[in-house]
Amino acid sequence: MNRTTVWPALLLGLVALTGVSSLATGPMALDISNLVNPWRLTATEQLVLVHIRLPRTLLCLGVGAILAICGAIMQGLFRNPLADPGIIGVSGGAALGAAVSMVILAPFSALLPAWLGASVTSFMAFIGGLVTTLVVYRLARTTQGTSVSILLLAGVAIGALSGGVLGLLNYLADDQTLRDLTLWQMGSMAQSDPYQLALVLITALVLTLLLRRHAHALNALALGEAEASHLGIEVQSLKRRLVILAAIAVGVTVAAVGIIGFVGLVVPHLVRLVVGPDHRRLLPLSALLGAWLLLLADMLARTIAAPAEMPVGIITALLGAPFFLWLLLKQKRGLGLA
Amino acid sequence: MKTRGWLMLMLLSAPSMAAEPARLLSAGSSITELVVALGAQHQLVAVDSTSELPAGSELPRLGYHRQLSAEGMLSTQPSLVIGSEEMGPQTALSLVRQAGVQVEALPEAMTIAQLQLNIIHLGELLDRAPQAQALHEAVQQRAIALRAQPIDSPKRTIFLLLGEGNSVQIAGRHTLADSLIQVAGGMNPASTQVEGYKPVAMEALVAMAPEVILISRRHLTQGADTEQIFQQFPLLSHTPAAQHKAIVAINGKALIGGFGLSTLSEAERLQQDWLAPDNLALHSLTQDPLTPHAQTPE
Repeated sequence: MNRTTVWPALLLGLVALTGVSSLATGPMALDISNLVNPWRLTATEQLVLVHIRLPRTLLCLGVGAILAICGAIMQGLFRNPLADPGIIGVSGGAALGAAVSMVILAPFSALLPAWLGASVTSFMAFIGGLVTTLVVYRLARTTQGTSVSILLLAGVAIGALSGGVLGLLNYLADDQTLRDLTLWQMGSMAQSDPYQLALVLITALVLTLLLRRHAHALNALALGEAEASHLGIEVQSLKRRLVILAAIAVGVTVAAVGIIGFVGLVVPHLVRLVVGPDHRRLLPLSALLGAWLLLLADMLARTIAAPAEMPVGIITALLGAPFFLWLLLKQKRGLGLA
Repeated sequence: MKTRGWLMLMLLSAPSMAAEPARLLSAGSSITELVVALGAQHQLVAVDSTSELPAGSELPRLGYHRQLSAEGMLSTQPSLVIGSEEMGPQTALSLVRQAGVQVEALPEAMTIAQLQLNIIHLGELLDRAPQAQALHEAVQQRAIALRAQPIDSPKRTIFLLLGEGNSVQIAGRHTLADSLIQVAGGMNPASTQVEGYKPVAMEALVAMAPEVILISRRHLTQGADTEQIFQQFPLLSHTPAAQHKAIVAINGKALIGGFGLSTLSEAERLQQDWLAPDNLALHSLTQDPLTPHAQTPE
């Protein structure tokens, strides 16, 4: 096996293996051999497997891949290793949308049909994320095109503004709503419905299929905007498309599972440290590593304190950040900077 | 004759042999408290993180009662899940229902009347109607006793949630602390001004001129006393409560998860020790206000 195939094969194998382990582990003891022979499972075991573990596993794959890809796209687009989907305001806007729904719309949720009531928060989160991103993008548009620095600064400003409004809503919320808001912001894989799962998987699929078209352009952009347009890339339309694509994709994940930090920021870094900056490899490998990391984190989240469950966002941060630091320090020594 | 006697015996004992005791899962501190009070503690297989169990008993913890995990619950093989209306999320509960487990959510009590309704409902669910009736009556007696105190001018009483630094939150209307104050026979001046727990300016607090200040016992570590609280919040010493050293530590657990038996106990203690008409003068001279009282619910 040569260098170009070893990493994808390794990661694919890891994802498959962890996916199966994710189906096999949980607070409820299941005989692994029964996974191959589902007819030997009791009704409750089937329920646990089909309605709890399978959706979660698929959700982790989809959400992890989306977050990592979007992180890689943002970092490529802004040529800034600190960029992640949060930087264009998606997460802040989505949190704001969800908070508006929980604090202001909740009293009216009784008027809505039951099937809609539960997903109003998700819908508002999605709309919040999208609207914020569009506002940020709009602010960054100049006569000469989109300014990256204005985009980043506007993202910070709008993020602060939505944080302020969120604080105001926190103040207005009663204690229980406040608890809900806090828990929602930490993210959890436990609560999404089948429609949201389907949406996440379709988004992940579409995103992966669109990758190949954009990888080359992102590589060209790494040389600088002027250079990229000399190479025949329509930089402005590329930026617009990618920003909106990332906003929609991240919005979908936030709506489904809440805010999960760290994956979008760190996974592309890890991949770049190993295989280099070529987006044709960076994007698909990020997707695989993101999926794997989230699978692992979720498995820990639901077994570490069983029968209780921890918000997965806590685990991704606790698991990933020290590992990331270790890698950075190792890299520093390797570069002779230590 | 002898065989008939045996037959009778078997018939009599049959129901108790057939009815397997329900495996109970309880979420919410005040609900678990009622389960224990109704004598069904041995049926519990797991509780949530807010529930307090009698000393010596250990059960698996399901996590925060609004963040229960479906598989976590199912792994304890319950036959009945009970909790307050706050229990959730709904997706997890509906999965548990799909697995054939009965799930019952009782309204979160803000009043003694609702607490009593919950007792009766719980008695039916747990097949312990006589015990529930007895508990209902005991609560009724205690409520009557609480109301019987002749109070001409209710003492102005506030509850403060003291945080790190200078953050102070006051309990307004629709909080359990407000219910506690009212049931104990006090008057909460904050209830006309704020709803829920809200940050409050010290100045506004002094203006309320509370005669009794309640704080959560959690905020007092060992060795801490009222003096330290006055050091941290100097303006507090300008309240009538400070002059009478009427700063009372309340069991914080009695203030979450709805009006429960421990809330009732705290109300009784508060009334006896602090809000009864001529108690303040006595306390300001003699008793250390922070000594927790041993309170045994009957």
